[in-house]
Amino acid sequence: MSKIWSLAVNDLRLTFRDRPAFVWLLVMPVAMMWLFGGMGGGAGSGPSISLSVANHDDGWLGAAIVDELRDESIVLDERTDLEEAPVRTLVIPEGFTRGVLGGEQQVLRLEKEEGTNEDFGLAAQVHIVRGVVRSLGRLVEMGDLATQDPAVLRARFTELGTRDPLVKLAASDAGQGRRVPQGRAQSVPGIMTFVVMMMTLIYGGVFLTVEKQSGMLRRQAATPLSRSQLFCGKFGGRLLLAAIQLAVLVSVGRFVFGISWGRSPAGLLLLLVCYAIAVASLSTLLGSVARDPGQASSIGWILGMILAALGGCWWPSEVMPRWLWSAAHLLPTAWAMDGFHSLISFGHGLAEVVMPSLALLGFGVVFTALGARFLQVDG
Amino acid sequence: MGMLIPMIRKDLLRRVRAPLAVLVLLAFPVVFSLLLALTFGGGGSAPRVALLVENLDDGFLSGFLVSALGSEQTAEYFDVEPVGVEGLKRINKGEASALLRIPEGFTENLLSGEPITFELIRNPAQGILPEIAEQSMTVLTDLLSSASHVLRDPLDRLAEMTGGGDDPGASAVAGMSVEVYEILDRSSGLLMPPAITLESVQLGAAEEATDADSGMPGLQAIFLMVLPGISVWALFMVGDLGMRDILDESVKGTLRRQLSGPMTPAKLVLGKACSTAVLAALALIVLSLLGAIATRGAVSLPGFLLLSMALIVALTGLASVISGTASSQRQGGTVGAMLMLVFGFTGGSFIPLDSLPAFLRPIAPVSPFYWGTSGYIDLIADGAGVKEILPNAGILAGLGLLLLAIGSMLLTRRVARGALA
Repeated sequence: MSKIWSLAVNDLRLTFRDRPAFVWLLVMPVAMMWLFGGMGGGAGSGPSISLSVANHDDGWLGAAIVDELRDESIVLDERTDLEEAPVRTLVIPEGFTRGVLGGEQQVLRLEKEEGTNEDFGLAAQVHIVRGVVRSLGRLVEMGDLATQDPAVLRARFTELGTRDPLVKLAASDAGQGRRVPQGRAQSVPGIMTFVVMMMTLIYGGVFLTVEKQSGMLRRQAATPLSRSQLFCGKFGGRLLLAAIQLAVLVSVGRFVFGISWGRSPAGLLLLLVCYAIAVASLSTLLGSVARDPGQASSIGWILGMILAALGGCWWPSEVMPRWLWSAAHLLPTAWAMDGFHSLISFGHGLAEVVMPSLALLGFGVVFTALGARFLQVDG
Repeated sequence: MGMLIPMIRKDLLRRVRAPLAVLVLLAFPVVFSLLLALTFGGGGSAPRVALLVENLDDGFLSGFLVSALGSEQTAEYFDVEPVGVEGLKRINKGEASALLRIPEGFTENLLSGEPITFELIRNPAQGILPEIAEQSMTVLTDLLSSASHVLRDPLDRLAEMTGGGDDPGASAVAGMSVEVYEILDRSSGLLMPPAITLESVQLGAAEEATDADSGMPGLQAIFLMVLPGISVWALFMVGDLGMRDILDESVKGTLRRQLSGPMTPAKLVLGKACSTAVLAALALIVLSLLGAIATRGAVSLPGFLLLSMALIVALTGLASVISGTASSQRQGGTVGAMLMLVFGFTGGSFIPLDSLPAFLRPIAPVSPFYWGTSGYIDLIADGAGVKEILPNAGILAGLGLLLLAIGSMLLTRRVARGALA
C-alpha cells in the first residue's frame, strides 16, 4: 500500500512542479466559476430590471399606466428623448388615452436594443402585461368612460388601484435548501463538475501518455512494483489530483461565492469522493488507451466538453428534451449534477445522494477495469 | 525551398498514420453543434413547464380553473397534471417545475370577495421553467382579481344562491351567464379585443423582428449559430497540435536526426510552420464543406477565402509562440489548452458575446478567436462580402505574421542552441 501511495504522491508532485499546471488546475476553474456565475445573474437576490418609458400621450391614462408599472423590481426611467433610450424602452403612443376611451385598440411598443439581456427583456414584458391586465380590469369596473370627466376618471382609477389585490400568489421553493445567489446555484456545481472532469481527464491523460512515450513508465515497471500496484499508483495520483481540485473549489464556492453546499456534510463528502473516483478512473483509462499526448489532449477535450454539456453542467437540465436528459444518465456528469442539486437546491440529506454516489462508483469500477486491461508500459 | 515540400509531406504522412487526434478535433464542432441544436433547437417549440396542480377546494369554480389550466391553449406552454397529496413529495423529488395549490375555500372566497392566496412551490433545481410558472401564475392572479371586481354583482348573487360553494343548479348558472354576458358586452370595447396590447420589438438588427416572428430557432439555425465559433476553436487547436509536433519530435529524438542532415534550424522551423498551415487548411476545407451543406446558401467565396487564409496565418503564429515558449511537451500542451480555452470563451466561440458579463465584452477583440468567429458569422448570417470582412482578415493576418515572427525566432534559437534537439 505504501508503494502505491508513494507512486501516487510522486505523480502529484510532478504535476504541481509545473507552474502552468497549477494555474490550469486550480486558478482557471475558479475564474470559470466566477465567469459563468456572473452570466447567470451574480450575487444577491434578483437584480432590478431597467425600463425606460417614453410617454407621448397627453392624456391621464398614459401617466396612469406608468404609475402602474412602478415597482421595487423595476428601475423606471421616464424620458421624452428617444434618441438616447438605453437597453429597453416602453413607448406609449400619442393619443393613447383618447384611443382607449374611444374604443380604438392602442399598441404599446417595447423596444429592446440589440444585444441586451433576453431574460430581463422577458421579465419586463411580463411586468408590463400585468400592469395592462390590472388597468383594463379597472377601466371595465369604471363603467361608461366616455361620459365621465377625465379628472374624475383619473381619480377613480387611482382609487381602485389602492385596493389590496383579492387574489395573490405565495411562491416558495421545494425542499429545505437555502436559496443561493441567482445563477450560482447552477453554475458553481456545474462548473466544478465540468472543470474537474476536463482538467483531470486532459492533464492526467496527457501525463500518462508522456510517461509512456518518454520511457518513465517502463522504468517504474522495472522497479519492484507489480502491474496492479503500478496501475493503482497511477489511478491514485489522478484521484489525489481530482480530490485537491474538488476541495479547493468547494471552499471557494462556500467562502467566496456564498454557496451553501447543503445540510449534509456526510452526503457531500460521499458524493465528492465517488465523483473523484469516477473522474480519476476515466482519466487513467484515457491515458492507457491514448497513444500520444496529442491524442490524449484532443480526446480529453472533446470528452470533457460533451460530458459536461450532456450532463447539465452548462445549462439547466430542464431546457433539454426529456429523452436527451434521460439518455444523459448514461454519463457520470448527469449523476453528479443530480447529487449536487439534491444537496444544494433541495437541502436533502445523505440518503438522497446514495443513488447518484453508487452510480458514480459504478462508473469508476467499469473505467478502472478497462484502464487496467489496456494500460501498457510502452507508448 | 527544395527541402520544404518533402518536410511538409513527411509531417502530413505522419498525421495520416496517426490521424485520431486531428479527426477528433474536426469531429468536435459538428458533434457539439448538433448537441446544442438538439438541446435548444427543439423542432420549433420551447420546453413546456411541468406544472402539478393540487386542488384543495371542493367547489365548482376551482374545477373550472383546473379545466382552464389544462385547456388546449395552455397545453402549448404547460404540461398540467392534477395531483393529490403526493404532489408535494413529487416536487420535493424534482419531478416537475412547480406545484400550484388551489387553496381550500377558493370558490367560497371568490364568490364572497374575500382574499385568496394561491401557493406555488417551485423546483429549486431548475432555473427557467419555475420562473415562467411563477410569472404566468401572477398574471392569472391579476386576472382573477380583476374578474372578481368586475363581476362582483353576479358573484354576490351566486354566493347567496349557493350558500357558498354548493352546486347552484342549471338555472342559476344560466341567469348568471346572461348577467356576465351583459357586463362583458358593455365592456367589449375594452376587452374584445383588448383595448391595450403590447408589441415587443428588437432594434438594431438588419430588419426589425418582432418576438412573434422569431419564435424558437430551429435545428439548422442553432447549428449555424454555433458552428462558426466552435470551428474556429477547433482550427486553433489543430494548429497548436501541428506546431507542438516540434516538441514531440524533440522527445522522440527525430529532431536531432533531422538536424544532422542538410537542415538548418530556421528551415526546420519554417517547415514545421508550413506543415501546420497546410494541416489547418485541410481541416478548414473539411469543416467548410460541412458548413456549406448546412447553409445551402450563398456565402461570398472571395470573402470566405480571404478570412480563411488570414485565420490560418493567425493560428500558425499563435501556435508557434506557444511551442516557442514552452519548456516541455507537457507544458506546451497545458499552456496551449489554457490559452485556447480563455480565448475561446472571451472571443465568443462557446458563448455568444451578448451573454458575456458587460465588462468582458470590450475585452473580446483581444482574442483572435473573436475576429475569426465574428467574420464567419457575418459571412453566413449577414451575407457579408470582401469589403466587410477586410478588417477581420487584416487583424488576423497582421497578428498572425507578428506572432509567427516571434514564435519562429524563439523556436529557431532553441533548436540552434540544442535546447530541443
